Amino acid sequence: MPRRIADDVRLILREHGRLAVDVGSLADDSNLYEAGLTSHASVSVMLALEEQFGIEFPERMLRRGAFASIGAIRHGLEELIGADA
Amino acid sequence: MESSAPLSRQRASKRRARPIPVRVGVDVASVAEIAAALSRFGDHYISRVFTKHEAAYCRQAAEPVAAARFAVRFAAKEAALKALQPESGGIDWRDIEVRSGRSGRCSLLLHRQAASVAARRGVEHLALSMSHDGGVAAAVVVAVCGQPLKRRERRRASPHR
Repeated sequence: MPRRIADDVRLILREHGRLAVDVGSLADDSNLYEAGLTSHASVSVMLALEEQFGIEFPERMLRRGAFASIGAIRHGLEELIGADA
Repeated sequence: MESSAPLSRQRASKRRARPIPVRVGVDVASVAEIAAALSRFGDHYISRVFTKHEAAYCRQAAEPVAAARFAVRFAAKEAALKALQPESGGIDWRDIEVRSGRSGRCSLLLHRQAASVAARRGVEHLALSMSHDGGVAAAVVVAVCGQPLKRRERRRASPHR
């Protein structure tokens, strides 16, 4: 369910995102780059998400906007694995 | 000196001197962060971000040099993305490849979507400089561009202008 996906995203961001703020303080639409997400940390987040969900982000999603917020990441995951996963 | 020339002549000179259009991108990466990703994700990380040529070159060295080699290449890819400024859509990191020459000089080779974006931007040449020290890897990419396509097309349409 979308709620669980968002929870997993937050857990992975906490472990791999190297954010300057606590993930719990971020809203779904908070800008992760403004919260300290670097380009390389976004790669680590992507790899952890791929492992967690058994997916591979396609080329069209390899852009800054796809990892700009928890909501954007969740949206991409829902598209890749199906909203009812 | 140009600064002592009359203002009208300076303006005329500026109109004649067409600057070479360049785009610049710069990026830094933490070698420790790249080493951590190598340790945590291993081949998944390498095969997702680096080409076979890059991976083979970086793996020729023992740690910590190998991590530094991967780090400067990651910085080069990000610097190239900043220089190219893709309009929309994504670019696979593997489409921006750092080629290591026998002399030790490195250059950029673009593939697929990255090459298409460069062509649309009128990029004629890419210059790359990379360095690492103190745990930080850095790269600068300068893209030298030709005339924008629209202007070129306009000139062809009006050859006497």
